[in-house]
Amino acid sequence: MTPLINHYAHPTHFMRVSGIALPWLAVASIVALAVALYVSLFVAPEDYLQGQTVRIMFLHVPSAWLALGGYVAIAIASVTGWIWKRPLADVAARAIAPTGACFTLIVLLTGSLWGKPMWGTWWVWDARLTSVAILLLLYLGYIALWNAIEEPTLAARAAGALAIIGVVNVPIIHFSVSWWNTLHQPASVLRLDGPTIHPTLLMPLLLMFAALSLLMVTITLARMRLEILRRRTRMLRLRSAQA
Amino acid sequence: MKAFVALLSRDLGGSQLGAGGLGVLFFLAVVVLLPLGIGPRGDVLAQIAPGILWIAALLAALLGLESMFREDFETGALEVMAMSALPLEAVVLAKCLAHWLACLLPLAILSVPCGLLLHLSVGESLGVAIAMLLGTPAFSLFGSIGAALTLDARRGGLLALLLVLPLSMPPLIFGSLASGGEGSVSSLLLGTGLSLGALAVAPFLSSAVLWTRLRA
Amino acid sequence: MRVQLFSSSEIELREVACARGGREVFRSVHVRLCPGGALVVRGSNGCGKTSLLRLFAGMLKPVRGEIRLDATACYLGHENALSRQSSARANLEFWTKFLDASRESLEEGIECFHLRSLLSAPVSSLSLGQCRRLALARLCLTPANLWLLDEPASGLDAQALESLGALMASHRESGGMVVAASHVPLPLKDAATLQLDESGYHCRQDELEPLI
Repeated sequence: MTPLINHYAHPTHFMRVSGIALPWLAVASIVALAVALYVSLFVAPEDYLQGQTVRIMFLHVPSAWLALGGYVAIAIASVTGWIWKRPLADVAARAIAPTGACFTLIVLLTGSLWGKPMWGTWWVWDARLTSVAILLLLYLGYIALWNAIEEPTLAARAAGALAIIGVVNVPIIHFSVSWWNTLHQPASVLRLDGPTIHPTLLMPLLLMFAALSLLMVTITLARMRLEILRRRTRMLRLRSAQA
Repeated sequence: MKAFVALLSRDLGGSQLGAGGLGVLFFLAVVVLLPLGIGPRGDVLAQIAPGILWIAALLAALLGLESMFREDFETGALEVMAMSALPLEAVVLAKCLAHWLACLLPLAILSVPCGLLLHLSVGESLGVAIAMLLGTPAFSLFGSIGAALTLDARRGGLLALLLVLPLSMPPLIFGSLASGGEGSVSSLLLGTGLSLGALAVAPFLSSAVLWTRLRA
Repeated sequence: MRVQLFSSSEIELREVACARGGREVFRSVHVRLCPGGALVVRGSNGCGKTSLLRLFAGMLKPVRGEIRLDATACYLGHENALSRQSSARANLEFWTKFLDASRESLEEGIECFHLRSLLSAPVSSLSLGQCRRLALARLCLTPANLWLLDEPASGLDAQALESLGALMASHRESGGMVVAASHVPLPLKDAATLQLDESGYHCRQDELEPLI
């Protein structure tokens, strides 16, 4: 197993394989996204309580999974890059971040759009919402740190440390905000987890999740290729400057 | 130990002193400007006073972060320290302590008269001060991680602020809750626990980050 | 002047290669240094002199080869490790306390580099050479037996260079070792030379005999 990973973790092999896979992945994610959008907008029935607004959930919930999953993936990639000294892992961590940040933003925006008709307010300082807002802040800090440090290995170490700290921090923030909330006001109407989801609603949810995951993988691979090329040009410049 | 004390007293007398003075001015400015912005109604001021004092303390503490490692890194002093007999973790700890003593301890003391100015009772003002004494070390300790991460980054000060903000949110929440009212004792305990947890974790994390820079 | 004698320690670099920023700066470096020995590292800009010193100091890891080091090192880099806001005296006293050195060794350093008249001046008002002398005085404060000096003579006048020579000589007499990277000739008697070539790959060290 390890030799196999070593083989594909090498940037040259990665560039070859990802170059072949990328167009297929792109087509697949566009098709999947079209199907998922059609099912969630036209096929799925409207909710007897939420009406048409339930359709926002089909985008909102998968985005939330991917936003959180993206950050965890960054942390795992950072640990891999740190311990096993795999530059490709650092490249992957950097490549995931902007997509993850976008999904976090989508979660916040769609949540607000859904909250206005359902709760009568754009925003509440609930533990879950606040944690997602902090998650966006963590993503932005992570991206900014990468951009602020010139030398890639140094930037990878610093950003990796930040990602790991962030992963530990998110649950602490979640706990502290819910603690703060229970002291300030009892959370009453703001419970999403009511009755179990009906299969007709679950179907578009899972379809959308699959489509968005495919999209995320595609964008991440493309960004990884870009980053590798960027590093190669940087290396060539350094070499020509010193030759 | 001698080295620790030497570093602490030099930082206190030097780089952190200026940042601390600036922080005190900032803190006082917030307390004076707040009633002008909110209106002089005592009950309103008293209700938001603990939160405002805590936010002002947090922002004032972030002001001093930039001077924690940067000068010593640029002059090469940090390298000498790293290679000395004193472990880098202890160097970080000394610097956090200097930052706390210069930037946050004066604010904890000042929060008593400032609380009174904002219509808190004497007991409530003392409550804010005690909560700050126990809770704000977490700001310095978590702050050191941000300062270490942005050591040679472009616009490092601003970036450190962005990085430290999510980390300092739990101490801020527990701290302002601990300053009085329902659940203040358990919040105080949680805030103190965060400070202790930061004490256990932050010096190691910060020095690990610093090592990656020094060894590069 | 110096009474302590270091236990016989030895330093050896074997087939060492070093990479910076993804580029190999040198390879196959052989160095052996015995008590009392001195090594001058020469080479053009960017050939890896500083990297070699940092390898000795343990601040860099070699990509290949091995380093055997039973010595405590004191590294004096390009930067002088002086705080610009405070006075020369405050800086020296801080390093004395921080490195847990005695007042006598501080006095020794002040005498050696003729710093007494500079003590009350703020570091920001001092010239390049004066700052370098202040930094060099730190050598008297450290118990390390391996001195790693990066361009120690930059900005020094003839008198200070002589003082540095005397200090290094007494350090070596008591069994200490000196590794210095320098463009200008240093007052180091019987020092071996390591030439880091311009291409960065070819290195040699002249035959080296221990002084003691």
